[in-house]
Amino acid sequence: MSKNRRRSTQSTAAIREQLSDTAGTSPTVAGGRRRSLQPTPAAPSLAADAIEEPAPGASNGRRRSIPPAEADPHWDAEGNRRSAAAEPPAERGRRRPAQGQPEGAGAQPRLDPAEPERAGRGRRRSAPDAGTAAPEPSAEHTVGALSGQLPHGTEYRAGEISTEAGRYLRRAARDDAPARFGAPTGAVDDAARQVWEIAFGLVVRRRFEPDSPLAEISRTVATAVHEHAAAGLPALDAEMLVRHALGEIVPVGDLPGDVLVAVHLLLFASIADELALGDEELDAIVAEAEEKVSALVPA
Amino acid sequence: MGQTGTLDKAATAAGRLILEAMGEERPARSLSRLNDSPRAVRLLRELFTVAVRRSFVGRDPRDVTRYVRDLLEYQTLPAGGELARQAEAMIRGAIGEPELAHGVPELRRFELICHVIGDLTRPPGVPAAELFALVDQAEKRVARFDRPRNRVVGRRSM
Repeated sequence: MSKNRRRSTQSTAAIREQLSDTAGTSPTVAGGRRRSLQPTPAAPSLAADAIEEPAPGASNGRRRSIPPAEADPHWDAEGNRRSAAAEPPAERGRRRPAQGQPEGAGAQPRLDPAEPERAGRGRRRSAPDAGTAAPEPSAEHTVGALSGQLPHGTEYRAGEISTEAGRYLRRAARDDAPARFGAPTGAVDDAARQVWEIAFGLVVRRRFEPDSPLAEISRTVATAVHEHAAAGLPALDAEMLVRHALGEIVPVGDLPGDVLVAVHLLLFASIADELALGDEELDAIVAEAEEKVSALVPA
Repeated sequence: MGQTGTLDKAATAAGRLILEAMGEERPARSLSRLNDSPRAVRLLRELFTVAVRRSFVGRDPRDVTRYVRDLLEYQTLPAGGELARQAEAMIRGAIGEPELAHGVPELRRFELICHVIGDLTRPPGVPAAELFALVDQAEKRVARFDRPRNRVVGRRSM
């Protein structure tokens, strides 16, 4: 299974946006042991010769617990959500900018035949008037081939799936989508990722209590990994994401984007199957996720 | 501040090397320098298994997550990413979920083993007598698994 783990070389800086709430739990050492904090910083390397340990003065003491002040990689210091525009898949889904607007360095020409048709329907191509035009949406808000944003001119209706990403997720849950290998092949925008992530969190919290035994979580994850063996889901990463959705502080900081999407889609499908969700219940969960994304991302 | 009177407590030369390294100021670093001794590396793996099982079997597996975060933060290593997941996979692999640790590279395994052993088995957090007992048990495991009839490498006779 481990041979199938798909690991990109994406750096930590390109961490995806996580939207589920995390409840801080105070870290404790097994056995209640604590040590004093190392005063001198060491390079984060684990090379055999580079193994650096705390200063001798601190080595005999117990490790001091550090408050769980883990910086959320998805929010900056000012409380603003960090843009994920650097993610390559998001760049692929970026809409062509209007004339007169400088094109971003990472923007690539659209190759999806569906996009020009959609973009040409109601999109202004002329440069916007500085005084009257609505602000151009950022890369985070653009509509891609598989978007989590509402098409223009439509409104959300309660319990009804409205976006392409939502419909894709429903098809994945009904084993009707080409998602058995994980991430979809086409372009996916950030809103679609958010829809899937929030829907994943909703279904995880419906399935598990925050203090559910880890064995129960592991069993569900193992079932999902087995069901979607072709995708080669990394079991520990999937388990970490489930626990993250339940509010635990777990190391999910540098998970690759394709692993995130695959776990969100396939575990959502597996848990929906485990819960035996009906069509209406499934649609309600997806629609709720879409609604939350629309509240997060201004139109 | 090396320990005294420990070197005669181990039956093998590898065990004595490990006990000597554990008495150094920085045990993880000292243990990592034993990587050129195959017998010491073999014994370290068994010592890791013994130490982890004594510490975590019967506990909530979430304690492993908390312990790893605490250990890495203490070592000023990144505690929120792949390294933490690999460390957790190694520890949980030793206490009954071996499939979790299959993806961890060999060098990283050795480094994490040195860190965990240096943290879990080192006096004064662990009494010296317990350390000797752990090394003794690890030596017995090595001897048991390295007997010809227990070797799984190569073709066995029918």
